[in-house]
Amino acid sequence: MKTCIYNSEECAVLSKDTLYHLSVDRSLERLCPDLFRREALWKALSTLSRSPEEIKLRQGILQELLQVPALLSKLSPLLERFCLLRDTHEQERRELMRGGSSHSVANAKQLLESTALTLKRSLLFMQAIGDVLEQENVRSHGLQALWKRIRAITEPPEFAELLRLCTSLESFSERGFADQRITLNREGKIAAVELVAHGDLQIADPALTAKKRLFRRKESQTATNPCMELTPFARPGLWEELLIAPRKDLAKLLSGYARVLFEEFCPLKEALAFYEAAVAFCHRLEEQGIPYCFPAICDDATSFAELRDLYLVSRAEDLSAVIPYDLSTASKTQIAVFGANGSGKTVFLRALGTAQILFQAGLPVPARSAVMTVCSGIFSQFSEAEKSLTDADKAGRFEQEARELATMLEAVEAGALVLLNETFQTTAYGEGARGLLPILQYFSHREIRYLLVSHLLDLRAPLLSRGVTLLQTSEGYSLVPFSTIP
Amino acid sequence: MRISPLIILGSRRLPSGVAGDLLPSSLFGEGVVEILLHPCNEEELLARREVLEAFLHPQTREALRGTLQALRGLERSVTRLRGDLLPLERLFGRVQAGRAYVEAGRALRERKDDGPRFAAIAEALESEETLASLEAVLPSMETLLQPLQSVSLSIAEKHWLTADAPVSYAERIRRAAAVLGLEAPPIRVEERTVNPALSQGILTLYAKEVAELEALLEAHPLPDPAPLLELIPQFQFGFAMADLVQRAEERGIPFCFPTLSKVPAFTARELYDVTLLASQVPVIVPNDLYFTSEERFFFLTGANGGGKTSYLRAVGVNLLLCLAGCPVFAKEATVYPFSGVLTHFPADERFSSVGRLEEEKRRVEELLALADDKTWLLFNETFSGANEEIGLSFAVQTGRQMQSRDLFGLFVTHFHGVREEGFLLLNTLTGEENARTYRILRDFGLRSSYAETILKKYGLDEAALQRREDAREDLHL
Repeated sequence: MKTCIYNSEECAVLSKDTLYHLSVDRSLERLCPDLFRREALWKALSTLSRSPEEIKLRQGILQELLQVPALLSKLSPLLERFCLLRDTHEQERRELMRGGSSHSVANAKQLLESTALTLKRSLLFMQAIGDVLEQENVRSHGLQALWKRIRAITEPPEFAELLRLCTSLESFSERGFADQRITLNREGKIAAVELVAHGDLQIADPALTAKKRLFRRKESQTATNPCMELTPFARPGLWEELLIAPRKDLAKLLSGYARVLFEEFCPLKEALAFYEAAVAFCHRLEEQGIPYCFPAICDDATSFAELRDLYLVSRAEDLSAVIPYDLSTASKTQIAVFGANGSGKTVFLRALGTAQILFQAGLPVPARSAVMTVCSGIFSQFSEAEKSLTDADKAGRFEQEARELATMLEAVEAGALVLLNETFQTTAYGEGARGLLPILQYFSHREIRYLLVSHLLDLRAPLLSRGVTLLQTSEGYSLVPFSTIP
Repeated sequence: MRISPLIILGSRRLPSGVAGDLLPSSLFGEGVVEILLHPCNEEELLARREVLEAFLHPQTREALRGTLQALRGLERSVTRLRGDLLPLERLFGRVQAGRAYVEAGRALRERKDDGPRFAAIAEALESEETLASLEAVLPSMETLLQPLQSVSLSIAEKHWLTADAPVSYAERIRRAAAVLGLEAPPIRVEERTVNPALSQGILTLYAKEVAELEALLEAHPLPDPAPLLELIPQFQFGFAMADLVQRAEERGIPFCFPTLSKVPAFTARELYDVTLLASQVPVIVPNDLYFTSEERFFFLTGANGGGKTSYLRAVGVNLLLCLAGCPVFAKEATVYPFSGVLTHFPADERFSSVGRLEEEKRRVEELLALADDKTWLLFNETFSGANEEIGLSFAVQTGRQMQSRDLFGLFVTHFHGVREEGFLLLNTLTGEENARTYRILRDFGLRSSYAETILKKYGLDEAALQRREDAREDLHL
C-alpha cells in the first residue's frame, strides 16, 4: 500500500536542460540557500507532476503547514526516528543473518526477539504519528488521508493483538519446550514448520495416564488427538533444524511486516523534506516582499496577474525594477513573441516557463494571482553555443538544434508545453523560418502548446494566419499583441 | 499403451556443424536443435504445421503450457520414485505419481480439438482402462493422505508427535495484520526432507489410514508413464517455436508458413535473420531473396560489416526452420521441400596435421559429396585462410562445381575477383559516406542515397512530419 502526501509517480516529462535554460538552478541558489533543502526542491522540480489532483494535494498540504508550523516540527523528528529504526533493523538483520552463526538456536531466538521488538516499535510509531495528526486537527486533503490510513492501522482491536503478540515474542521464553506445527506438502516434504504457543498444544501421554500420573502438561487429561513419543535425537540434524527454522521463519515474517510499514511510511520523511524546503522557500519569498500565490487549476484557460520572472526577483534589490506581466489566454493558445534584442522576450518566456514548473511541483508562483493548466510535459530548446560538439561530431549549430528538436519530437505528447528560444536562427533567417514553420504546425496539430521567442520575422504572417497569438515587445519591456504585420 | 507422437523425426540427420554455424546456442536448447537437424518430408512437414499452429495460437498455447507443466510434473514424480526414499516419502510419492499421471492424461485429453495429432493422443488415452480406474480412486487416496500432512512436534526432554495442530504464531500475526491492511510479505520457506524418525512416527500415528492407502495403491498401480513422457521434448519444440515467434513479433518481425513450391526454389519477401534476436542488435534489417530453378547459386561480396553473414544466416536458418515444418521469418515465402542445408563456416584454428586451407578444402569436398541436387550449401568466407590468388581460384572452382551439379547455394566471400567469372552476384548496399544499410541487392545497378537536408536527416521536414502524424493516426493515438 502507498500512503502519499507526495507522489512522484505520475510524472510530467521535463527535458533535461529545461531547468538550466530557465535558470531555475540560479534562482534557487538565492531563494533557498540551505543546500539540503535546495536539493529537496530540485528533486521535486525535476520530477513534475502531471496530475491536477496531486498538485492540489501538495498545494493544500503546503498551505496547511504554513498555517500550522507545529505540524512540521512534530512530524519531522518522529519520521526521522522511524527511518532510523528501519536502518538499525536492517543492520541488525544483516549481522544476525550473516555467516554460520545464524544456524544456531540461540541466534535464531535472538533474531526472533529483536525483530519482534522492531515490529512493536514500528507499530508504536504509527500510534505516535496518529496522535500528532489528531492533536493538530489536520484539515488538508493529503494530511487527512494520512490520518485516515494511520487510523485504519491503529484503531482496530487487531492492532492491540499484534502489539501483544510482539510483546510475547520480544522476550520469548519456552522453558525448555519447543512446540511447532509441521505441514507436509503433497510430496511428503516438510513445507512449513511454525512455532505454536506452548499452552495451545495438547499432548496426551498414554503411558503416563496408565501410571495415574499426569504428564506435566495439564492438557494431557483432556487431549483426544493421537499422540506418540519419538526417539529423541536419533539423527540430530533435522531436530536442530526444526528448532531453528520456525524461529527464523517467524522472524522473517515479523521483519516483513516491519518492512511493509517502513516501505509505506519512510517515504513520508522524504516527502516531508520537500515540504520543509517549500515552507522555507515561501518564507524567503515573504521576507523579500515577493508576492506569491497558489495557482487555481483550470483545463481551458491560463491567466496571470503580475507574474514576475523568478530569476530576476531572486536577484533584484528593488522589486519594482522587475516588470510584472499580466496575461490571459485560452490554454491551447500558441504564443510567439517578437521584438528587438534586450527588449525582454526571453524574460517573458522564462517567467512563464518557470511558473509552469513551480506550479506543477505544487509550489506557489511569483504572481498576485494565477490560473494555470497542467501540462503533460515541459520541453525547451534554447539557441546556445556549440558546447556539446566534439571533433568527431562535426555537425554545425543548426544541426545541433535539429537534433535536439528531433529528440524532443520523440518524447513530446499532446498537452505538453514547448519553450523555443530563438530556434533556427543559426542558419539564414528565411531558411530557418521555412524549416521551423512545419514543426510549429506539427505542434499545433498534436495539441502541443508552444511559446516561441524569435527574430524570424518571416514566421509572423503564416503564424498570424493560423491563429497564433503574436506579441511584440515594446517600450519599458512591456508586451503588446498585434493582429496585423507592422 | 501406444500413443502416437506429435512429431515424427525424419531419418536423415544434418551434420551437427550446421547448427553450430547457423544457430546461436542461446536461441534453442539441444532438444530443439536435434529436431531442426532432421529435415522432414512433405507429408510430415504439413502435419507438423498443424501441430505448430496450435502452439502459435495464443489461447491454445496457454492451455498447452498447462499440459506441458502436467507432463513435467509426471516426469518429476516418476524420477523421484526411482530415488532412495523414506517410507513416508515413498507413500506420498506414489500418490503424487498417480495424481500427476491422472493430471497429465486429463490435460492431454482436453487438447483433442487442437489438430489431428492431438486428437489421436486424446483418443488413445480415452480408451486407457488403467488411467480411468486410477482417476476414479484418486479422491479416496487424497482423503486418506490428508491427515498425514499436518502434525505437531514438541521437542523437550521427550519428543512428542501429535495430530493436534493449533493455530501458529505466524498465522495469528498474519490474521491480525490483514485486518490492519498490512500486506503479507513474501516469505520463502525452505523445503525440508523428513528424517527416519519423523517418517516412522507419522506412519505409526496414522497406521490405519496408511494401511488403507497401501491397499489402494496395490490395487491401482501406476500405468507405464514412458509414452506420455516422450511427448515432453515434442512440446518443448512447439514452445520454442512459439516463443521465438513471439519475440520476433515484439520486434516487429513478421512470420509466415511458406508456400510449398513444386519446383526447386526459395524466394522470400523481407526475410529476417532471426538469430540476431539473441544478440540484442537494435535493428534487424530484412532482405528479399530470390533463388529459383534457373538461378540457384550466387556469390555475395561487399563491405565488411555490411550484413553478408547475416544474410547467409537468414537464408540458412529460415531453411532449417521451414524444413522442420516451422514458420519462417518473412512477409511471405515460397520454398521447395529441400532435403537439407549444409554449411561451411570458418573453423577454429585447431588443426593438428593439416593447415587451414587444406582443412577447408577437405570440408568443402565432404560437403559436396554429401549434397544431392535438393541440398543447399552455404559457404561463409571459405578459403579466406589462403592468399587472394589461391583463395579466389578455389572459390571459383567450388562455384563451378555448384553450377555444374545444379546445386542451390550461397557463397559469401571477400574475393572480389569472383565478379569477373560470370557468376550470379549479390552485393551489400552502402549508403552515404559508406554507411552500412545491411541491405543486400543483386549486383546490377547499385543504388545510393544522399541526405537532402539536415532536416530530412532528422525527420523534421514537412513530409516526414506528415508521415509521423499519419502513423499516429493509424495507431489511433
